[in-house]
Amino acid sequence: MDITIFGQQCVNGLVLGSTYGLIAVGYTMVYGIIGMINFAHGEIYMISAYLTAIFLALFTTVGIHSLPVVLLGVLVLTMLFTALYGWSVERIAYRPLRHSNRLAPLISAIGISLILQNYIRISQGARNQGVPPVLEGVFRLPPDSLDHRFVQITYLQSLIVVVALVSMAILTWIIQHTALGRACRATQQDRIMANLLGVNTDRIISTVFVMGAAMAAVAGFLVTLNYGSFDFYIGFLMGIKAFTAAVLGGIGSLPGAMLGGVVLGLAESFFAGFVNSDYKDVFAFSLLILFLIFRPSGFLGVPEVEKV
Amino acid sequence: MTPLLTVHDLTMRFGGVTALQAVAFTVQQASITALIGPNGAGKTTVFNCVTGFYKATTGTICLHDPQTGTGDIDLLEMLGESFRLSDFWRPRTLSRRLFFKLFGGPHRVNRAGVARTFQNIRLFDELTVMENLLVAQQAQVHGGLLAGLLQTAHFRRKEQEAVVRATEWLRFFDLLGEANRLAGTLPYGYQRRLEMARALCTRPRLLCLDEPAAGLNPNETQALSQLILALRDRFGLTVLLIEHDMGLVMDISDHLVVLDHGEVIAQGKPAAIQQDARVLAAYLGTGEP
Repeated sequence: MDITIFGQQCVNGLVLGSTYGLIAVGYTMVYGIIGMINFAHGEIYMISAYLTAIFLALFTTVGIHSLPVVLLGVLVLTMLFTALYGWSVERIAYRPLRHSNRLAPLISAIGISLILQNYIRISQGARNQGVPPVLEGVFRLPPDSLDHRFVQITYLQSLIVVVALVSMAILTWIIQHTALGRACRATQQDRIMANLLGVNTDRIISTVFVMGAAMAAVAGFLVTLNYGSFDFYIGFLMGIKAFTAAVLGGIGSLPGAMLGGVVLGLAESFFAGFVNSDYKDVFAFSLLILFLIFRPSGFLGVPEVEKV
Repeated sequence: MTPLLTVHDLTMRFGGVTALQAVAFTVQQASITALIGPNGAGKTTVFNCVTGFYKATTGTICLHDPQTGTGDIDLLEMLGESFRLSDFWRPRTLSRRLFFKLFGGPHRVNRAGVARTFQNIRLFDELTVMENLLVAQQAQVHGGLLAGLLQTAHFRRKEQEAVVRATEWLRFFDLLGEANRLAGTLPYGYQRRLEMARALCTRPRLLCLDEPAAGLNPNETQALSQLILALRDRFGLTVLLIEHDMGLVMDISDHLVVLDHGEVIAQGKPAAIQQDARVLAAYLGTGEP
């Protein structure tokens, strides 16, 4: 086995895994707090890709060309607007069904994801869209290699890993050390009791959707800059992959989502690099099935005690 | 004597079962009122209606404002009642109902000044003792996402005040040494006291205790009754409690309300209740007619 190919697949897997992790956070937080899988989360990610392109174009039209300003501005605006979509989805599709049976919000989620897909297809067109490369350049390891034996890391790839780590750190800090995070954890453990203690649990649930959507927006922003092209259908595959990552890590667990994302990303790239790249999705979903059968609580999840 | 809580004509139906039938009683300001009755009499259902855990079928539950004597708060309205036809030519009522439909819920009842504990302890087991008390003060801290992220001066001061208040209640309940333990790892007696401390952290005017002495030994029960008396005498709090330990109830309560089969069968001073024929019948059963 070639060590440079191995190294290259490690890099690719880590980059891919970071984006999976960022999206998986949204699934895992929503599951943790209201016990439902938000299947519209992938579409939220897809919308964030469009928003990134729109804001990039906007900045260029206005005439702002300083790269750090553009990147930061686009990121913040994308997060804000995507968060608004996340909030609206919860308000329209899930909150009215809060007290119905468990299947109702699930069906509603599938409905809202179809609506979002078609809304984008009609408003933005069904064709592939793209953004021009904004940040080019590579690191090579070792730097002065003359033949083809080197590991290549683009600036964007390193940006992805750094931004993903930083946003995960901020999110973990919010959950562990702020009043809001405390209320989130309390609501997760006993929603009714938190409500009886004066916590507006509806607002806490909304905030969780907003935070999940903002993290998906970070992923959408990074992936769009990296790959440059997207269409209205990318949310489906990415959503299912991120869901797989959340299950792998242990759904409901925040560090688990990130770990699951990285593990899935690495597994997928090694499979693509050493076995067959056509079947990498099959491999990823086989992992999902195996985990659901043999270890449904994932790496870091607590096995659910069967209540009799 | 001024009333703090007036319950009038309270009826609660679950499908075909009428759990409460026209229950009416008042709780006086700074008093200890006990709700007693045989098993299944509907005591906990009254509690659940008063604290907003259930939405009562009909009736009024009114919390009076002792400072002004006016400005009564309708606790049932806050849960979001359904619209009636007559609302449509009374825009004020309509808009209030609409507001509480959208933004109402049990948290408003708590913020109006009603806090409770549960018969089976419901602490946040995975949070520390201190965090349990801080969550209860969430409504006062106003912990928005941005304020928390930016750690604004206002937010930090509020948070500091919350920690100070939590510490005071921990000292009162003698739990100060346990502040950083996970609530789920505390011994049972401590958990009971922590649950009371947590309810008090929401700054209630009416504290509802659902069987606070359940599972405590005689010494602990004795200490508990001292604590409840101190809440009334030192802090001027009003306590409504459900309790099966008649020794405790007769010792500390100012007023008793006796329920049986969802109806109030007697109320009055402890001494009078002990002599009441209907109460004795409900507890001991009636003889042959």
